[in-house]
Amino acid sequence: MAMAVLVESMTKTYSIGPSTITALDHVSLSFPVGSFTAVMGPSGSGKSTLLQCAAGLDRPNSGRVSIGEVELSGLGETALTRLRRDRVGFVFQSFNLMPSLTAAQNVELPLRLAGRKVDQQAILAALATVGLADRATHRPSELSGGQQQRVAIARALVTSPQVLFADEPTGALDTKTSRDVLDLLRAMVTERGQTVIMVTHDPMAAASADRVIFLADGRIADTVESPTAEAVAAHMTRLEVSAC
Amino acid sequence: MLTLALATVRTRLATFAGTFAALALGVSVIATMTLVLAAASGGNPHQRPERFAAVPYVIQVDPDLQVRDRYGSVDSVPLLAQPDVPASVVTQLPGVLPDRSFYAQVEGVPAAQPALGHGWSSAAFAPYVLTSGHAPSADDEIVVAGPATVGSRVSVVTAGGSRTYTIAGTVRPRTGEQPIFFTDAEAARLSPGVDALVTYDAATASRAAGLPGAHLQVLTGADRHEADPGAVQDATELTGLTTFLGVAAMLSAFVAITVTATAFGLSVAQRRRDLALLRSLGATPKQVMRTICAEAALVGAGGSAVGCLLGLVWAPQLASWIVRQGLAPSWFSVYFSTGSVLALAIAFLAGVAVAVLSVLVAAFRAGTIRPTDALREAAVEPKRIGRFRLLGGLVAACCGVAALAAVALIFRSAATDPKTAAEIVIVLIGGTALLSPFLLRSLTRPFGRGTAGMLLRANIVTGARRAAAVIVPVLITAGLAMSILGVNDTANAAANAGQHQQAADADFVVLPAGTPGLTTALLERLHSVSGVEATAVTDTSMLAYQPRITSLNLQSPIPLPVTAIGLDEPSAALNLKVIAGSLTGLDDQTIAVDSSWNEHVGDTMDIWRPDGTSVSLKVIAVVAASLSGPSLIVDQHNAGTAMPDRAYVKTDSADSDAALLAAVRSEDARVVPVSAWSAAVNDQQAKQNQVGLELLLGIAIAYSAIGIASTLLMSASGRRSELSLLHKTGATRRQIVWIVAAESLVLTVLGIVLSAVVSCLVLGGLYLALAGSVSVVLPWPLVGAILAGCVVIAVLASTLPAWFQLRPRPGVVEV
Repeated sequence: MAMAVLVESMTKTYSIGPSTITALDHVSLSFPVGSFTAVMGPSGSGKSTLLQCAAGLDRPNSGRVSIGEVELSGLGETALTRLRRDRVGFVFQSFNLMPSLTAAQNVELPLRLAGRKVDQQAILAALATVGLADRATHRPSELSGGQQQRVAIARALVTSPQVLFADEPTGALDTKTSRDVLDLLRAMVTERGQTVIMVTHDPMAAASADRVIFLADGRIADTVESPTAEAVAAHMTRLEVSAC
Repeated sequence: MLTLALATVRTRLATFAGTFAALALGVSVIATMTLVLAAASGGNPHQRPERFAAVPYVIQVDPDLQVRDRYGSVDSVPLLAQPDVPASVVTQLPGVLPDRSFYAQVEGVPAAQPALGHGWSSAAFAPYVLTSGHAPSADDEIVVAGPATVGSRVSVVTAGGSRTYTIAGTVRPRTGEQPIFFTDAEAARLSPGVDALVTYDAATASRAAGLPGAHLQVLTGADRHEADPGAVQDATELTGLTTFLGVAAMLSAFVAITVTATAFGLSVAQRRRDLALLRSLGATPKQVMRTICAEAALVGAGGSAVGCLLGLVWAPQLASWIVRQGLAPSWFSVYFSTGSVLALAIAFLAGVAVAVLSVLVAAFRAGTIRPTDALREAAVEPKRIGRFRLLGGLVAACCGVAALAAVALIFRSAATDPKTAAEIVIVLIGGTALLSPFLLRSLTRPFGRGTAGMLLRANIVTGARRAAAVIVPVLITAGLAMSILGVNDTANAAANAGQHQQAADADFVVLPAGTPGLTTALLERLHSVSGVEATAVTDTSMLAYQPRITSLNLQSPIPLPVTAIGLDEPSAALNLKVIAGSLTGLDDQTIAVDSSWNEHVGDTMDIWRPDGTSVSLKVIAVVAASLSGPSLIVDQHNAGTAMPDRAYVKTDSADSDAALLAAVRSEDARVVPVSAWSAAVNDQQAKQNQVGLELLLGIAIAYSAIGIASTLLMSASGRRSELSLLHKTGATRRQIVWIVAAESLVLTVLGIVLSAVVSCLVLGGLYLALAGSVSVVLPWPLVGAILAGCVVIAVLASTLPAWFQLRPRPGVVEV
C-alpha cells in the first residue's frame, strides 16, 4: 500500500535553559494513503510535536520524514515551504485565519501564495462544502469559533493536498459543531480518498478515525484499529494511570 | 502580496497610525528644511540690476581667487571683499568709465540703506535723475538723493573723517542705497580705488574679458546685479544661512529617521503571530519580506505625501521667521522653482526609503520565523536581538568616541564649531540607541528590589526591543538638549572670554556712534592725546593655507578664511599673550601669528588679503593660541578697506581721561568703560547665537517629544491583551495603571541616564579642548524643563491608553 506520510526513527528535543526535554524518542510510523488516523496521548506526550514535524512545520533533530516519495530532511526552507504549499493542509486549534482578510480571501490565500490561478467558483464551492457560502465576505471577528474552524478546514482542502493534518480541530467547539466537523472529515476520507492525520483529546473524535495511535513520553504506547469511543476512553485511562 | 498588504493596512489602522504619523511629521520637517535650503542656494530670483541698469556692460575683477593647488588643478576660493580694478587695466582699456563706491554719510541722517558715495558720472549708470539744482561743479559740492535743501551746508562723514559740503542738487532716490554724488575728482581723492568699469561698447567689453592676467569678468543682463551694494552682503548672509540650515537639516533628519525606524521596527515585532501564520500557510520567507516591504512602502508613500504637503505649508513660515530674526536678507522667501521641486522629491523619496529600510531588517527576521511560532505565545523575544544591531552600535560608539578624542586633543579649534559638535553628538547618540537593548539588564539592576521591582525588571528585560523603542526617543531628546545646549553655551562663554581678554589691560573702549567704524581723523586725534595709549582693532578675515594636523604640519589643499585682526599701532592697551618675538614693528611687511600655525619668528608667510592681493609677510611675533581669539595679527593696511571696529585705550591719569573724552566727542564716537563694554559684548553674542539655537533644537526636540508619545501609544496597543489578562486575574484598574506608569517612568529615567552619559562625554571632550580656559556651562533651567517634559509626556502617553483600554465593556469576550 502506498504511504502518504512515512516517519522513520524521528527524535525531537527542546532545550529550556540548562535542561533538555525529549519530545519524541525514535518514533517510526507510516500513514497509508486514504486513511484517517487519530493520534492521542496525555499532555506532554509529544503528539503536537509529531504532527508539526511530520507536516514539515518543524525539523526533527534526527530521523527522516517523507511525504509521498519526497524526503523532507534535505530541503531548504524555501523548498520546504513550496512542498508544504502543494501537498499539505494544516488546521490549528485556534488562530487559524488572517484577521484582516475575509473568509473567502482566507480560503484562497494558499492558492495565491503558490501563484496559482484562483477560481472564484471553486472558492465558493469549498465554503459551501463546510456550509458557510453565505459568510464569504465576513471577517474572522464576525464569525463564531466553530465557523472559523470550518473556514480553516475549507482553506486546508482547497489546494487538494495529499495529506490533511489537524491539531485538535474540535478542541474549542461544542458537541454539535464538533460532530459536524468530524463528519466532514470522515466524508473527505470516504468519498475523496483524502488522507487525514488528526491529534485529539476527545474519545468521540477518535472514534471517527480508522486507527488510533497512543503516544506516551515521546514513544508509541499502543495502536487500536477500528476504534469505538469506549475502547479509546479505556485505553486513555490506562495510559494515564500507568504514567503516574 | 499587494492585496494582503492593502487589507492589513486597512484593518489595522491603529497600528499603522503611529508609524504613519511619525513618518508624516518627519518628512514634513525634512521637506521644510530642504525647501528653505533650496531657496537659500538659489539666490535672489527677482534680482534686477539697480545701480547699473542703464549701462550694458559692467567690468569687475573676478570675486573668486583662482589658486593652483598641490595636484595641479585650479580651484576657486571666494574672496571676502570685492577687489579693486588695477590702474594698469584702466589704461589698457580706452573708452571705459570708472565707478567708485565708498562709505559716505550725511552726519546726523540715519541710513536705512547702505550709505555710499560716488563720482557724479556714476549717476548716469542707474540712472539717477536730477530733480532740483545742478550737478556738482566744485569739489566741495555734492548731490544727494531725496528731499534736501539746495544750497545748505552739511557735514559728510567718510572713512577719513568729516568735511563740510554744499548741497548743489537732489536726485530721485532708488532702492538699494542712499547715495551722495561728489565730483569725479573729489571721489577719486576720497577713494582712489576703482571698484568697477563701465562701457557701452561691446568690443571693449570682449577685450576686457580677454585681458591676460587681469581676471576680469564682464557682467551683462541680470548679472549686473552682482555689482550692486547689497549683493555681496546678501551672498555672504545666504552662505552663512545655508551652512546653518545644513546643520539643522542634519539634526532633523537624524531625529526623524531614528524615531520612524523605531516605530516601524516595533510594528513588525508586534505582528509576529500574523507573520508566523502566513509562513505556515505556505508563504516563503521572500514572500513574507515582500509583504512587509509592500506595507511599509504604502505607509511610506502615504506618510511622505502628507509630509510634503505639510512642508509646503511650513516652509514659507520658516523663511519669514528667518528674515525676522535677521539671519537672511529681507527679500528672502521660498519660491517655486526646479530647486524646490527637487527638494520635495528628495523629501518624499527619503520618507519612502526610511520606511522600507527600517522594516528591511525586521522583515528579514520575520521571513525566517519558524511557522511553529504561530502556535506558541511569542511573549519572549528571540535571544539574538540582531547581531547587526550590536555590531552597528559598537561601531558607531567607537567612531564617536574616537572623533571626540581627536577633536578634544588635536583639532581643538573644531570643538566649538556647531557642525562638528552636531555630527559627533549624532554618532554617539545613534550608537547608544542601537546598543540600548543590550544594556537593559545591567541598567535595571538597581530597580530590581522587591516584588514590584522584580516584575518591572523582568518585564523590561524580556521585552527588550519594546523597551528600547521607548528609550530611544527619550535618549535623543535629552541627549540633544544637554549636549548641544552645553556646547553652545560653553562656546559663547569661550568667545566672550576671548574678547574680554583682549581688553583686559585697557581702561576704555572707543566705539563708533552712527558710523560703521572709527574714522581716520578720530584715530589721529586719539593718538595725539598725551598720556593715552590706544590701539584700533579691525576684525577681518584673511585667506591662508591652514595647517591641518599640527604634529605633521600638513596643509589644507586650498586657502581658507582665517579670523584676523588689523591693528593701527600695537600698544599696551591691547592684551595679547606674546610667546615669542614682539609686536612692535608690526607694519605692512610683517605679521604676528598664534602658536597653532607652527611658525617661528623670522619665517615668511604667504597669505592673501581679503580682496585677493597676495602678500608675503615676515613673522615677528608668536602669540598664545586661544579658541576665540584671532589667529593672525596684521597691520591695518593689510586688513582690507573696512574701518576699525573699536579702539582699546589705556589712560594714566584723570586728566588724560578728560582729554580723551574731549577728543572723542568732537568726532562721531563714544567712549565706554571696559567693564560696561564687556557686558554689552556678552549680551550681543548671546542674542545672536540664541536665535539659531532655537531653530536647531526646537524642531529636533519637538519631534522627539512626538516620537516618545507615538512609540508609547503603539506599544500600549500591543499590550492590550496582556493588560486585560492582568485585569481578569484580579488587578484593579488603578493597580494596572500604576504598573504601566512605573514602567514608563523607569524607562524614561533610563533614557535620561544614558543621555547624561553621552552628554558628559561630549562636554568632557569640550572641556579638554578648551584646556581649562573656560569652564563648561549648561543652562540648567532649560535642560531641567526639557527632561521634566519628557517624563510627563512618557507617563501620560502610556497611562491614558491603559486607563481607557481597561474600561468595563459589556458583552465582549476577550480572546
